[in-house]
Formats: sequence, C-alpha cells, structure tokens
Amino acid sequence: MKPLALILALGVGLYASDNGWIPVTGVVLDPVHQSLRPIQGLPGASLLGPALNLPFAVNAAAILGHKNAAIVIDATGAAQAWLVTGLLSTDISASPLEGAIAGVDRIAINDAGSVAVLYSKSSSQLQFVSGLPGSPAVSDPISSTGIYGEINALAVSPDGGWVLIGATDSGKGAVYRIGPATNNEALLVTTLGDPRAIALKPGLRSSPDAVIADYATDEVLLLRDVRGAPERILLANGSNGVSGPVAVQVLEDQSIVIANAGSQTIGRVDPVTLQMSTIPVNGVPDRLERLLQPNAYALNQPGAAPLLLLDASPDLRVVFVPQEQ
Amino acid sequence: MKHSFLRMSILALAGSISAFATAPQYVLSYFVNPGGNQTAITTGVVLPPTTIGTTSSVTIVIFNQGDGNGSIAGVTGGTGNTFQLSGLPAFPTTIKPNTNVTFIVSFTPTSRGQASANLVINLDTGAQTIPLSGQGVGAAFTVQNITSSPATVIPANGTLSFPNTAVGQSATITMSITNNGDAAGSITPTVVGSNFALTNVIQQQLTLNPGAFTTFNVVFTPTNIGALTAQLLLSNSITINLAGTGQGANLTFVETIGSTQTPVANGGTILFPNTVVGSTAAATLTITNTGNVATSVTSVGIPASAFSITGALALPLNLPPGGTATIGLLFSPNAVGALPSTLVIDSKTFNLQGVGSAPTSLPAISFTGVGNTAAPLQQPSVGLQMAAPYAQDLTGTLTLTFTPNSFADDPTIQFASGGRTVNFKIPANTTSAVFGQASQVQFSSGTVAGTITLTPSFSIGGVDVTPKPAPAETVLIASSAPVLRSLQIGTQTATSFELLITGYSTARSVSGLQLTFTPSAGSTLSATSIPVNSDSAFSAWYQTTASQTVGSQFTASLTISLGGNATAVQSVSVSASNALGASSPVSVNLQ
Repeated sequence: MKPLALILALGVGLYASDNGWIPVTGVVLDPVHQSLRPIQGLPGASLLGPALNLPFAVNAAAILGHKNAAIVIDATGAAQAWLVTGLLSTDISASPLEGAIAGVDRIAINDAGSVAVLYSKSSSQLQFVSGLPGSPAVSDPISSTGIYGEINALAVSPDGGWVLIGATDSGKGAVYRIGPATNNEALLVTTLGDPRAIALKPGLRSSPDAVIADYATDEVLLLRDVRGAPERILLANGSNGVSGPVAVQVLEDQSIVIANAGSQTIGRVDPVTLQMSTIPVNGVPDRLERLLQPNAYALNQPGAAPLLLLDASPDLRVVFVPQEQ
Repeated sequence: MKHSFLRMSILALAGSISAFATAPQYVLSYFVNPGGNQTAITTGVVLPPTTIGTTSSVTIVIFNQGDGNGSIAGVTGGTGNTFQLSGLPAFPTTIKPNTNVTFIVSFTPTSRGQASANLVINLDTGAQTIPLSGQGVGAAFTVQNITSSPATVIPANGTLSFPNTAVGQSATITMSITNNGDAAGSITPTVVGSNFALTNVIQQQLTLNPGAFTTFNVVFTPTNIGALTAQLLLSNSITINLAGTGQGANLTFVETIGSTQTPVANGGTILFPNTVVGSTAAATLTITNTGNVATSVTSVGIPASAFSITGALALPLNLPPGGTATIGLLFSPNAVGALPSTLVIDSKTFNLQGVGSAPTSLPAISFTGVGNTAAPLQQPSVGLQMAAPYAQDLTGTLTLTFTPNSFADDPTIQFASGGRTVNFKIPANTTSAVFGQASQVQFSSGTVAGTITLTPSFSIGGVDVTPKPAPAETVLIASSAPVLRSLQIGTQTATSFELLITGYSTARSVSGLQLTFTPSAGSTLSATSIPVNSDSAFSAWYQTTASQTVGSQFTASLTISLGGNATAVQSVSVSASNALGASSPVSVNLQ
C-alpha cells in the first residue's frame, strides 16, 4: 500500500485574525446586557470578552457544541428563534429560523450540536430543529399538552429522534419521551418527585441511559434504556451529599457531575465505584452548561456575582471569571 | 412805722376802756408777715392761704394799754408742725403800760384745705383762747390713661399696665396729666428703669396751672421676655408704676458630654474630648424653650466634617414654652489634629471642636492561604491576619501588582471581585480580614511568568495607618515549558483537517510543535512524526496586542493536508516546546 502523503500547512503564522489566537473557553449569555459574550482565556485565567455583535438583544441561547454556532432567542416580545453562525469569527451572522415557533422559553441541544429542541410554554409546543448548523430544518410543532406540569428539563437524543422531558405538576414529577421517534406522542418514561435536570449517556444497549436529578428527593438516578424498558438505579442521594440538585452532566470518563444548589457544592459520582465526592462552590450553582473547551462548564450566569466555571480536566475545580467592575 | 401808727390808734381805743383804774388792759392784734395790715383779733387769727410745704406767718401783738403792769404767764397752742409758735419771750413776762409783747404764729400746711388750731394766751387777767385758721393750697394732679376707653385714672403709686408685647415690638399708652388743684404745680415726667420710654413730652419740666393739663406717651418696648417693670416719676410726690410682659420664645442650649452638662450660647463652642481617629465621641445638645411663646426649630445641620448628627431628626422640632428637644452629636475624627466644624440650628451657630488623636500602631500583619509560588491558571486564596486584636475597626485595600518577566502584563491576573484591588475590613477586636463575607479572597495567577505582589493598606476612619514599610507578599509565577490544554479538530474536509491547539507558555515562547499521527487500522502514513518550527509564528503572536489580553494563552491553528483520504489518520497528538522544555502531548481522534 502506498503511504498516504501528509502535507502540512503551517497555519500558525498565517491566521487571519489576531483574535483567532485567543483561546475561548465558551460563550455565555449575559442576562444583564442581554448579549452573548465569550469567555476569553482558559479556565483559571479568563475574562469576559466584549459582547458578540448581534443585531438584537438576546433572551436565551444554546451553543451548538463546537460548531461555532448558536440558536438564540431575541428579547423582543415575539421571542423569535435565530441561528447565529460564525460565532467567534469576524463574519458572525444571524438568520431567523424560518417556521420556528414563537415565544420560545427553552432550548436544548444534543451533544453533537446537530439537533435542537425548542419549547414554548405559552403555546405548549415543542419543535425539533435538525441539520444544524448548515442546513437547519424545523419540524412541525408538537403539542406538549400531554405533558403535565412545569417543564424543567430537556435532553435531546444523540440522533435527534426524541427528547426527554422532565416535568413537575403539583409536587409530582415525571419524565416523558417525545419526538418524531414516538410519532410526537408523549410517552411516560418514569415518575419521580421533581426532575430538574436530565443528561444522556451511552447505554449498555443501543438505547441511551439517562441521568436524572430529582430536586424533590435529593436523588440522582440512572435510568437505563430509556427507549426500551427503563430501569432505575439510584446513583446518589442526600446521604452522599446531594442537596437541591439542579443540573447534571456526564463527563468524558462517564463520571457524573451534579450541581447542588442546596449545599453549594459540585458532586462527582465515580463511574466505577459510584462513590460521590464533592467540592465547594463559592456561590450558588444553577446550571452545568457545556462550554467550548473540553470539560468546561458554566455554573451560573455573569451578573452580580462572578461567573463560575467548573473545570473538569481532569480533577474537578471551580474557578471564577473575574467580576466586571 | 406803719405798725406803730396803728398801735397808737388802738391805744386810743383801749384807753377808753380802762379809764378808771391802774390795771393792765390788753389789746390783741396781728398782722401777716411781712408787712401786712394789723388787724385786731376779734374772732380769731386767719393765716393767709399757704402752698403746701411752704410757711406763712403772722405776728401776734399783745398791747397793754392799761395803766398798770400786766403779766403773761405763757402762750400755748398750735397743732404739731402745721401751726407753730416762735419768738416767744421768757415767761412769765411783764408787760408795762403802753408796751407790747409779740410773737409769731407760723403756718405750714401739709395738705390742701382748711387747717385750724387754738392759741391760748395766759394773761394775768385770764386766759385768752384765740382760734387759728389757715388754708393749705397746692396743685393736685390727676393722671389718666386716655388710651383705654373709657380713660382710667391712675392713682399715685398706682400701676399703668401695658398689654403683653412681643420682644422688639412696642405698645404705647397716652397719659393725661391734669392739675385739678388750687395752685400751679410742676411735673417732670421721667422714667426710671428700662424697656419703657416717654415720647411726645411737650417740655421736660412743665408747670401746670390749676385746670391745665398735658399729655405724653409712654412706650413699652420689651427687650426681654417676662414681667418687666419701671417707674414713671411725675413729681416728687407722684410716682406711677409701669408694668408689662415681654413675650417671645427663648431657646437655651445645654451640651451634655458624659455626665457633664454645660450651657452653650449662640456662637459658643461645644468641645468634644480628644478622640482617637476611627473611634467616636458622643454628645447631646438639649434645646429648651424658656420663653413664653411656642416656637420650632426648622433646620439643623453640620457641614461635611468629622462631626455628624446621630439619627434622623424629625424636623421641625416643636418647642412649646418649657419644651425641650435633644440632638445627638457624634465626633468621628478622620484625621489627626484639630477638626473644627459648625452646628447650625436655624439662625444660631455653634462651634464644634474636637481633636483627632493618632491611633496606635497596628499589630504585626501576616498573609494566610497563599504561598510564595503559584502555578499558572491557578486561583489561590489570600487572607490577612493580625498578630493580636486591634481595638478599632480597620478598613483596607489589598492591592495586587504584577511584574512580568517579559514585557507583557497579564490582564487575567485579577481578584475574583474584579480588578487588582479589593477592599477588606478587620472588625474591632478581631484579627482576620474580611473580604465581603469571606476570610480570604481568590485571585488568578494568570499564565505569564513574573511576580505577583500583594500589598495591603490599612486605614481607620480614613486615616492611613499602614505600617511603614507596608507588609507585602510575593507570589512567583515561574517560567516553564509550554502547557497544552486541548487539541480540537476545526475545519475538516475529505483531504484536510484543521488542528486547534490551545495552551499557554509562561515564558511567552513556543519554539516548536511536535505532531505525531496514528494511522487508522489498515492505513500507512508516509510520516508519523513531524516537527514544526513555530518560533516565528508565536513570536509574532506574542507581540500582538490581542495576545496580551490573555497573558500567554494561545489557540494555534494547523491545517493538515493529506495526499489521500483523511480517514487514514486515526488520531493526532501534539506537544509544544520552548527553551525550558516540552509540554505533555494532547491528542484528538479524527475518526
């Protein structure tokens, strides 16, 4: 076999923009200025950069993984969904997502950043947006009326065929699966107290597993085979340090991190021993928002307190992005 | 001579009475002094009308027209000081024929009207009782307040009362003085005392004939609050009391410091004790309305200074007569030395004086939490600890400075609260600095080799009490080999892919990249390890302004073009190096 030739282009010296060399940990929504802002620098030595140049104020946003793109909701009354591309380049552009439902409150993205699910509480509708970011295509709106209660958690399947939804109604919660794969029918997956966060992880079978944070019971559950016959496994609870869990993520090593708003800690469940360790957070974590740098997550939004990041490369640590003065 | 002639006529008359014996025969007469007509005493002696306080007199003549010696045993009579006898001979006295004995009866009336007495002459022929009479005459002034309606008479030693009058204002009463007596009299209106005065007085000394009158005004202009009196003297015998009440509010001020109370007047000084800077001294100022009219205080203020008013005053402060209000004052010296100010209460100003004393030196200061070295991308915590508690509240600022080994600063080196300064406080009688709510504050170590210096400053009430030299802690960020954080795939095509290499180099130098390719199963690569000289590219980057915004961090882009299908490459790993060594490799899977 003829060896494959490697031709190396030394782009390091030819990069078009100076700013292109600046590492960016991620892009976050600044609710105070209603803008998207890059976190310039690496966790531990970073600053909030200037707002990205968008033609409208932003009310909600979801970054499409490493695709240099995002779906954002403008802050006008219509709450129009937009696709922003070239997020960290000088040719950033925003296009309305034609056919997208209005009044979007929540956006969920699959891990690959290829499929998004939009949710509008006011219209009780869901909508899948596939082909991201290059060829966005919106599905017909899906009624969420079969899902009872307040929707607090969304997790999009890797293939974009369904979304897991955690909802709570009068102190009783449930997780539903809905999407094209279920013929847009809300299927009850399991019931529990108050599902505040859901993360998907590869399952033993072809069906993914789900990690669910139950805020009501201070429990984190592993739900095996969400697409088939779900099996519930308790990963951690209050005795392990779970306290007011509001967000979960699955790290590359398959360990599970939990944002405990109650105890202001981050918990990590070892994938092998299932033992949980915690580290303190100098603030109240309210999210585990995946950022662009591997193993970097936002724990809150910038504002009155410093933006806090979880750096899980490899040991867990919480770092701040200096507060603006 | 005239009187002798008359005597001879009387003698002729008397001779006819005593024609037959050698016996005394008396003829009694008198004449008004001086030089009045001699009048035989028939029914009595009438003295001329006499002004009160003055004296008139008559001379009594006892003539012996008989032919024998007569004798007078004595003469008595008179009433006290009104009628008095003088010029009497020594008794008994002999009156030879055709001789007489005279003496004087004087009349000094003490009041107007008729006065009378008896004169008894004890003659040898028997006692002769002679009635004496006289009329006292004089002026009689009637004093009236004619401002009142009807006019009211003010008796001598009576009181003329004025209406209550505000201090500084005036009330006027017109007086009428009429001479209702039977002789002219003089008045000299004069006020003895203050707050009262006369106006429209025609003449300072005025003689009023009987029936005449004059008027003038008495003006009451109180300069003080409360009952005020004076006297109006019209003559030696007529005094009118003047009375009025000055009305107004009167605020008095008493400062209280500790248990000591000291009155303080408008323009006076409230002196606070010497106070250590950073501590406080309190005082109160009590306002009392000692007047007889309610008043209020509408403004109380102290200009920005070491003095302040404690609490919130509910203005206006209403002060009825006898009412009080208290104002709390605080002296919080923010400098050493005299710190004068003023307290202004409506139109009154009080000087505030206090002296700020130098605080005592701080105990030894040490740093906690932070070491002398820190790795890049770290966020160490630092705290401040005093060797012993301090008696006063301390505030301070911890300042971070960074001295890079290279020319470039690292803006990511900041405190968590943002910036390179952070405020703290050390409450009195404690030893640890408090940053917000925490005992320590974090800062970023950045990614540039150099020295971070932490220097605290301390102050008490705005006075710098930082020890000299100021304590300082240095944290060294060492120069080292590059560190790669991540390797990611950027733009990818069928025949090329882009490597995004993210890391930092505290020395701000990356001279080389080492790329190692792992072929996919079944594939063979012409080269699996390729060194790349990156020195010039990184040197250029580190000289840009953009690079200095993130210290020594970088994301380098390398585009790899393949002579065949990109699927032949399973993974790539990259390490970076400089003069200090090489980084650990980072890798990424392409498949």
